[in-house]
Amino acid sequence: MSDQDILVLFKKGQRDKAFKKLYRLYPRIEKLILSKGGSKADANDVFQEALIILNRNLETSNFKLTSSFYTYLYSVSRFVWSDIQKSLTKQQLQELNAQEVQIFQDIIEEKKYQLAEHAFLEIGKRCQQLLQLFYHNAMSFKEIANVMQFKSSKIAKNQKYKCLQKAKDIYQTKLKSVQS
Amino acid sequence: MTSYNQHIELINNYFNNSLSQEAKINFESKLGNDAEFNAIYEEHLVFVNGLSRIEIKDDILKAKRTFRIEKWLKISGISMLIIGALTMLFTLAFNTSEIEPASNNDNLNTIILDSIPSKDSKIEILGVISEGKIDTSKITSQIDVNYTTTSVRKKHGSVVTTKRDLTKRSQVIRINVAKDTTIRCKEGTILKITKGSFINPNTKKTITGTIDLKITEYYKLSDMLQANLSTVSSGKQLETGGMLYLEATQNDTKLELKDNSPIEISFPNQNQKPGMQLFLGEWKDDNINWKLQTDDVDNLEILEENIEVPFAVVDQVPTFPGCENDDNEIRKKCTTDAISQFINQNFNTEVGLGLGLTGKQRILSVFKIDHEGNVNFIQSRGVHPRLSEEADRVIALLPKMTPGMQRGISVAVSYSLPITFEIAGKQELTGSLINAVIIDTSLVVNPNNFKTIEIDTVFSSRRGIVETIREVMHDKDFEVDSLFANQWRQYNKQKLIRKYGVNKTRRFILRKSLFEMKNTKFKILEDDSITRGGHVIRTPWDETKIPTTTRVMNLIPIERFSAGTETVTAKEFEARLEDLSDTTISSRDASYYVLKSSNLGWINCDRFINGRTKRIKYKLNIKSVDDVNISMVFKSLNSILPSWYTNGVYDFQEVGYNEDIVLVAIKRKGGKLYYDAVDTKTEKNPQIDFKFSEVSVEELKQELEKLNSNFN
Repeated sequence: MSDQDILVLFKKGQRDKAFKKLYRLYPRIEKLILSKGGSKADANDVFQEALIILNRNLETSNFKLTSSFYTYLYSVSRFVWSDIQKSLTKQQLQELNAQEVQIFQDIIEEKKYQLAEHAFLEIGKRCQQLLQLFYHNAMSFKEIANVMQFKSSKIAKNQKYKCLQKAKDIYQTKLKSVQS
Repeated sequence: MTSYNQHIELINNYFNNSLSQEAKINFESKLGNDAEFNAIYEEHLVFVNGLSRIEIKDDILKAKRTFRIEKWLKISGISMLIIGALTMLFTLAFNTSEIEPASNNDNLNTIILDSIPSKDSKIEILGVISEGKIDTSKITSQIDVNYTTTSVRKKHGSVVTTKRDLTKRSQVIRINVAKDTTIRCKEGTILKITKGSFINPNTKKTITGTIDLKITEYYKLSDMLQANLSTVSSGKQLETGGMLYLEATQNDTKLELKDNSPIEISFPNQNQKPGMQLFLGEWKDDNINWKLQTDDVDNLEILEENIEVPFAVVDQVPTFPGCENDDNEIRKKCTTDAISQFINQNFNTEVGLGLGLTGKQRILSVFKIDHEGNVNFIQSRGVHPRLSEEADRVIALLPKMTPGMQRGISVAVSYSLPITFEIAGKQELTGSLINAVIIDTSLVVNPNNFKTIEIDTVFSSRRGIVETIREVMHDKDFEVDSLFANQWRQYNKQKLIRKYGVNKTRRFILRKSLFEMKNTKFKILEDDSITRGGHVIRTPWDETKIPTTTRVMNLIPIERFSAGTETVTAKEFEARLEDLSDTTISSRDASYYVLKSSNLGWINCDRFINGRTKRIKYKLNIKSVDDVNISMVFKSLNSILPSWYTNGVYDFQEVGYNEDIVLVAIKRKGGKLYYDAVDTKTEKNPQIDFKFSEVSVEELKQELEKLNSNFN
């Protein structure tokens, strides 16, 4: 059950099993969040976020995990929570070390994606399904047309584009509102 | 739009790595060059990543769920294991405790019974056997140990431990002592146990609830051999009809049989042999010795009673202390003399005075000196109960004597002692012993001491028949003469007048005939109710309406105090005390007088002493040789302990340690009283100095009262 095993699982693509093992570390991180004024739900979200970031990093080839999973997740969770709380002062930001900076950047990056995700969730069920089938399941349009009961693959293609556009629009709006 | 689509498609392909190498290079250069394309690319990237988040989240959720489930599975699994392990341990532990071998009969409560033919056929009274507390006697007529029964009295202390295990399996039966129980054992022995027969040997309390009875039967020779049982009684050989081992326990406490609660044991028939008797077994080292036991203690007592020997006939008469001698005749004379003299000295002839008796008075006393030398079964008969009482009292004061012996065995000896004395004229008391040796004893009363007893008359009033009659007649002045009173009593007896109810509901029923008699004093009154039969129900007046007129007169002799060998009234006592020439009153008398008249109480010191843990012997050495009386007054109780004076030491015997006390010393010298009181604590080897100051009687009384009030 060491970190090595978890890494192997990730490499193998057995993401969920890896996550399952990582969940053992959750109680401590939950305690951290709780002590910092968060609720259990918050802790849940934070941990999830940390896992996502971890996963992303693991998928990029140039990521090197220098510490244990726990330490990494711990730091990430801490920053995530601080970011949510908006409690990081400029000074604190300046005092971060290299690794922490990296983590911080990752978090910021992820936030963008988070925004996109939210946008996606707002486009409607059918669109969501369509897009998921295309991106997640990597189906061909023909197959999608089958599943979603489109008349032709072309229609599917068209629909996909429309959905995507919609989502992107929403994303842009969100982005603008966040940035303002 | 389409271009956008195409772009997107391209990008997707790029991501999927479905572009050729060449296309890839193209794409990447385009990214570098075309800003717009770049933007699109970036945006799309973000979006795609955003989408992927959803997937990741799904995975995470899945993982979380799985994790949780696994966690709970683990927990329940482990707890099951723990529970399982605990129950296993528990059952193991429990089981081992039951497997304790009940090996040794190493205690006081075992009986091993045997039955053998008796050889002797004489009635002989044996003395009390020293070991155990068994009185045994060999009884003449063959006692058949029939199937009917023989009783066994189990006595403690009779069986000594054995080191050898009895290997025969025993039967353990659980019985409820609240009921009479009959047990039939495997080999045919029948035990009958009455309810409530067992006691705890330590607390002596009767056992309730259930007890375990362990029974081992030994009828077969093999069984007996295995258990190393033998059949010998003090060196004599016995033939056995069977042996039994009994033990009773409750919660691991060994129990004993209550006195007079024997267990009836019936040995099965095939072991019947004439002359079988019951023996109790005692282990000495590895061997058992059997001793005969009585069937019934009652028998023994009856026998004892039957064996009562008259004084004149007995081999060896009971001996008064100090009369020991080899020659029985000398002893007899000495004892009878001593008894007569004792009666002389202690009989208070003055009880005969003031009773209105004159002339020769006779009291006949019989008593018994039992086989232990105690005087009991005293019965005196005199003309007046007070005389009988006095005789009883004096005889009871006789000291314990050496019992009479008949053929080497202690026996009870009966005595008859007539006491005669004369009142008025020549005061002489004579007493004599019947039964062979008659001795004249004269109790002489000193004529100087014979004075009229001073008596106080005490009057009290009582509600009697006169009041009742008046209550019923509703007339407080109703004339009641003795004739009428008798008539009333008569009517009551005849049920012509009946009373019922209590207090306020008291009623009298007066029958018709009372009113119809000639010259009757009964009249029907206003608030009478008449019954159907014509009888009258009357509510009597209550006490307030009828005053009490009956007076009762009691004669009580004035309290007398001892002054040396006489008793005198209080007045006389104080007069003597004042009198310088008078020497009859000792300081002891004085202190007693003073204490008594000051109303200080005496408490049973036994109770008190038990309350304290430590007791010490308290003795005082007093320099003053004069006649001093010292008492110990306890501060915490209204209690006084007297002292016994011997050889210059005042001995208070045992007292509680470290108690707050006051030592009160009263001295009488030259017709004067002296007093001192010292506050101290009870401790060993006390050194007390008394400083006496002269006091009058009144002052002395006051001093003592002070003590009384201080210590509440």
